[in-house]
Amino acid sequence: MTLLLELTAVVRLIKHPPWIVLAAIAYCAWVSRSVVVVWWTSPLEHFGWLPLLIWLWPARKWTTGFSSRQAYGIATAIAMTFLGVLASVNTLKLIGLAIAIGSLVGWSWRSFVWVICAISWLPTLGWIMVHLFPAAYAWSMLLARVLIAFAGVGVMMTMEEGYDKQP
Amino acid sequence: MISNRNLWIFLAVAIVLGLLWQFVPLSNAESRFDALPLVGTRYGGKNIPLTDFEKTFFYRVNILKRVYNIEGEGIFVIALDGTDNRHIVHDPYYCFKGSGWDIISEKTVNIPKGTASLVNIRKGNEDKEAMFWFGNGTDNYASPLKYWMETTLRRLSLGYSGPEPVLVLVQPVNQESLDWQELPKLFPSLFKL
Repeated sequence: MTLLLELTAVVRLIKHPPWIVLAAIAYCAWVSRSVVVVWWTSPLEHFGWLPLLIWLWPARKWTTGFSSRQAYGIATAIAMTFLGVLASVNTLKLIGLAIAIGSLVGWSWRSFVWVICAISWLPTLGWIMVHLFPAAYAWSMLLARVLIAFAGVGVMMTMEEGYDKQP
Repeated sequence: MISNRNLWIFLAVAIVLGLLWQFVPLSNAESRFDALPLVGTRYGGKNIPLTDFEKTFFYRVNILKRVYNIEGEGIFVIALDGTDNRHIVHDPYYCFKGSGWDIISEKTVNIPKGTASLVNIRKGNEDKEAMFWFGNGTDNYASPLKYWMETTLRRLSLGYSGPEPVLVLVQPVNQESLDWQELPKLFPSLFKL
């Protein structure tokens, strides 16, 4: 039954793709692509993609409609990423990407918390943790990231029933 | 509500302006690097060539990498100018940790034109000291946050906010520590980068 629902969602997206949301995600992801190099080269960021994969789980429940909140979300995502490009600040670009993905799902207080938990896959969190916990190991930092990502997913899961209801 | 059409326009403007922004050149800190003498009355130094890894890793970064002998004591100096690739200039604290060093202690010390961070690091049985600061030719400071803010403002203002700050890192070569108090007196030019 769950699989059927998932498939229905995929079919729905193919039939009615939210083009502007997808285009904004593509833009934010393209200008943020250097994060892959960070995962590859920085010893403290290895497996940084893991919290991203976990965090992305609720994004499979995208919405095909286009609400006012989504429009503002997309505008904010583009603005953040654009500012990140001009100022050469990767964190802003990645925050823009997280907001764009959040807009794919639709906005509620739960999705807001979920998007905040996107910090779990931002390299900035590694820098913060190194300063807050100088004795921390790379694996404990990864564990913290994974837990934050799961926390975000958990918050979204509690509203599974109302996922598709747009304001 | 923002219309779909306006969002497409906004996205197109962001893409085009973002692309154009990359072509506006910013002045770099090369002249400050060139002004650092190799030989002085109390010191002599030599340039150290970059390794193949460093050439790849520090792509589009101006680097000054030298070893100096100052009255019998060796120091290693590396300075990074990230004008064309700012992301490679990290908080050294983060880099030490990433390279497997534990930070034993850290303190802010006064140097000419401002402050620097003096860190004590340990890897296995090896203890080392290192001093780093960010300098823009006028001020020196130890805060990576200030560096990020200054470089961000510089990029947003297309260079009008001031010169590009550089990261300067100094480490003793053959010994654990240095007489850091004496360094500004023996090698004052180092603090003008």
